[in-house]
Amino acid sequence: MTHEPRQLFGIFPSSGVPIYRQIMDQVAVLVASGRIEPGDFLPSVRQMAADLEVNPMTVSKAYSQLELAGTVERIRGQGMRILAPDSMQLKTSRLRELGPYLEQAVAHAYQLSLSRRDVLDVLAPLLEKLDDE
Amino acid sequence: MMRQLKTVLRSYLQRPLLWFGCALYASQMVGFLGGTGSARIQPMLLMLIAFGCGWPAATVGFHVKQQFADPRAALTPGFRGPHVVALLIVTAAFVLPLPLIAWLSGHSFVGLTATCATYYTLVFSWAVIQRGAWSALLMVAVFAPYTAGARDLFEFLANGRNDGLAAAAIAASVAVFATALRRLVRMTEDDPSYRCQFRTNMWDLNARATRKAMSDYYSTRNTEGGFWVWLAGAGLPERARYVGGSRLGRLRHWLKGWPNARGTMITAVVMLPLLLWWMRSGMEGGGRSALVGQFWVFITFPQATLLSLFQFRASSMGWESLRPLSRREYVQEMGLVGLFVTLCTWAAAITALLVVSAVSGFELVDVRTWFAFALVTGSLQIPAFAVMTRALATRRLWPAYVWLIVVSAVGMLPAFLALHKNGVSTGVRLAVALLLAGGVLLRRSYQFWCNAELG
Amino acid sequence: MNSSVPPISIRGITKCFGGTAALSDVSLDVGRGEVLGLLGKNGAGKTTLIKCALGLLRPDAGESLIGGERAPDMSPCTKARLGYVAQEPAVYPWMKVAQAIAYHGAFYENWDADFAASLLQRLELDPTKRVGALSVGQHQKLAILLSLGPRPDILLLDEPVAALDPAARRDFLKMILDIVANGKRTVLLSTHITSDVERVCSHVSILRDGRVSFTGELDALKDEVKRVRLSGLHDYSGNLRLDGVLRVEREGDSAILTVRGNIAATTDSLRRDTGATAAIEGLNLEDIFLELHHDATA
Repeated sequence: MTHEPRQLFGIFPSSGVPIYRQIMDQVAVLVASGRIEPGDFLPSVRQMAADLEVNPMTVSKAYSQLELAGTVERIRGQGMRILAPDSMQLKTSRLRELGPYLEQAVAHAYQLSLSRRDVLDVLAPLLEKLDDE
Repeated sequence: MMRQLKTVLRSYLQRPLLWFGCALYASQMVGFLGGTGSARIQPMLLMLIAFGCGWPAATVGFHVKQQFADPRAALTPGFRGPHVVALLIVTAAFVLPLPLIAWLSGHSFVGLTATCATYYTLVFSWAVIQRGAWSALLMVAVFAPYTAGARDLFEFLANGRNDGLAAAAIAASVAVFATALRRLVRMTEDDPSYRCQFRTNMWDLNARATRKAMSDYYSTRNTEGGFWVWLAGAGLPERARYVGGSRLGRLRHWLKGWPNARGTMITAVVMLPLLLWWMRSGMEGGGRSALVGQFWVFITFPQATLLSLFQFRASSMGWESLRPLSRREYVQEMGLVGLFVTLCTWAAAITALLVVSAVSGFELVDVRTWFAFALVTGSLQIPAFAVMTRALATRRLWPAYVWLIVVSAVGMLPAFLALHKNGVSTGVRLAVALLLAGGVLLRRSYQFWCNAELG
Repeated sequence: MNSSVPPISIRGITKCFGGTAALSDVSLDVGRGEVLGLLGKNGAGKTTLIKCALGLLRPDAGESLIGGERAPDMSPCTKARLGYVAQEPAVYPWMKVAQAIAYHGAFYENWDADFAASLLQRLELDPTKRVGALSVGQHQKLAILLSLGPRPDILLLDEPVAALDPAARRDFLKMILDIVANGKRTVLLSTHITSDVERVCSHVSILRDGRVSFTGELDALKDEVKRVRLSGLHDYSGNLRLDGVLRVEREGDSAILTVRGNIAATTDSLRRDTGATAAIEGLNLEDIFLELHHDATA
């Protein structure tokens, strides 16, 4: 199944994040959330560039980087196909995304002169939302 | 008020064209001084007054037009006062000196003031409005010195025969001047005259001011369907057909894109015989000497045509040179087209001369002299063209004007010789010399153009 | 045609007007398929550079190669593949739009009349109107149309959208993207609208006072210049101006720094030195442009 670029991607050319990085990040999110499934094809470079009104070279770059990262594979004559995510790899990347937020929280706690105990007390009820896995 | 007045007066000094006009005025004054020496003012002096008062009047008019036909005029507080006063001062400076000198020499002050004032007003009013009926004033001003009637009237007034009439003429001039000034001072954008401004930048033909003036010219007349604008664009194809295949095809195409080459030719063919006849009829003395006063038609006019057409072309040249042809080809082809237009204009003039000679019975020239004259003035066009194009290669207008005068002055000599030496052989020799000189100068101009900056 | 030379190659161009140098030793290349955005403040020398690149002005030093040929001596063949839109186009004001298009098109063997006609419609130009009577924006659109008619491979555009309204500008950017879609065409676009550059350009060059202060991939520039927010500095009195820090704004406990170069390394150094928390923010092109133009002494 192929998808309409506009429906899937929200690109902001004037943000601090390079466009190719935005595309890469959004592909990762789409895969993780299940909106694109392994075996689906990403829209062609031309279609992406035309629909999102960005430079095709940028899209090519994003796709190449995704290929290097192992998220997609290039099928000749057809395009870029989503690979089944290595569950271990996926988890690692997700954990990596969470990292900075936790770092910030800890740093903030340090500034507020809170102890480890205090932080865990605050954290415990919040963690109840998450699954026990 | 005084400070503003000084600033406004200083703005007049920044106009190179006005300096030129002053120089012309001064030179006419010299001639006039000579003329006032005698007991009677000669009718020929009307010519001096025409040039001396006319040119500055036009420049002042253009300058003042630009001051008032501008949003700043309406929005700046206290704008009108200093500007109008400055204008009156400058006007007095150009109108009064000649009569004063004449008065000091014992001639009629009123009579000469009447002439100067009338002349000045005619040209000034045209320069300020530049539309419709006011253009007729310019025609009157230009042609009057060649009309016997006007000259007689001038002689009549200048020698103090009827001071009452002179006073009436002054009053009339003031009234017309005031009318034009009133319209100018109140001018708003919906006045069709608002955009008629002579805005060429003398220093840089690529300047925005020149381009804007051109656009304004064609935009206003578009809505009224002016004849010259229609003529400039008439017959141009609306579908692109490749012309690069043959040199001749491309040359014709360049010519098509030269605005008003056609208009100029039609004007030349129709106007020149009339002009020559008119001038001749107003001249005393024998045919050949009378022709001397009309040399400018054969020397200056073709080159001036080139200059005026070039002005239209100048700002597009950089872009044009990027079309698919080499720089050499571009320069060659533009040069050929320019030369063609110049020679056509000259040919129209020289044919007009023959026609007028044959038809009018004014015994201008006989066929052999005409032939020699044609040879010489024709070959004169080549070096003149070379000099003018070299001057225009810098894309500054004022050197071109200066060179135009130089070329005209220098060209008088061979033309004079051709006219007054009997025999075709002199003419042939002169022509050959001119062509050789022209060849050398043309080569220099060509090389300069090939390396010129067109951006 | 030498295929190893980039289609637009500007090498060490210096140009002086009067006593001042408008351009000093400017070099940049635009490779095949690239879209380079030339950014600079007004008076930085963008127009002068483009004119020197095309051979319309003679540089005092250096040279420019278009399609592998020296610019002033470009062959008709190369010129037929070239499209140029000047900053203030001077299309013949006495012609009607249709006539101007036909006149210009007649010079090109590869003029695509159907494409020109479709552009005429797309740009909403009235073919019967006289060029002199067009508004500034329409005049610019006409100039764009004339440059695109022969389907050029190499395009140099000097502030082509300056007078266009946002809708027309967006449409023009789409046109550029269509043109470069096949990866074989090269565009050099000079503008001061950074959002256009972000959308359309793969590469960017920043011109400051006649010198190149950056040239390279747009993405690389965005990765190279970032903002770092420090919080929790307390009484840190040391120098925050490490290598690579362009600007420091300090207010008591926090500071905002602009960092260029190896962001991670510099940020780590800052963290170590100050003990404060550091958050890295990306900057968009407009911010980067302003930061790069900020005086180091301020």
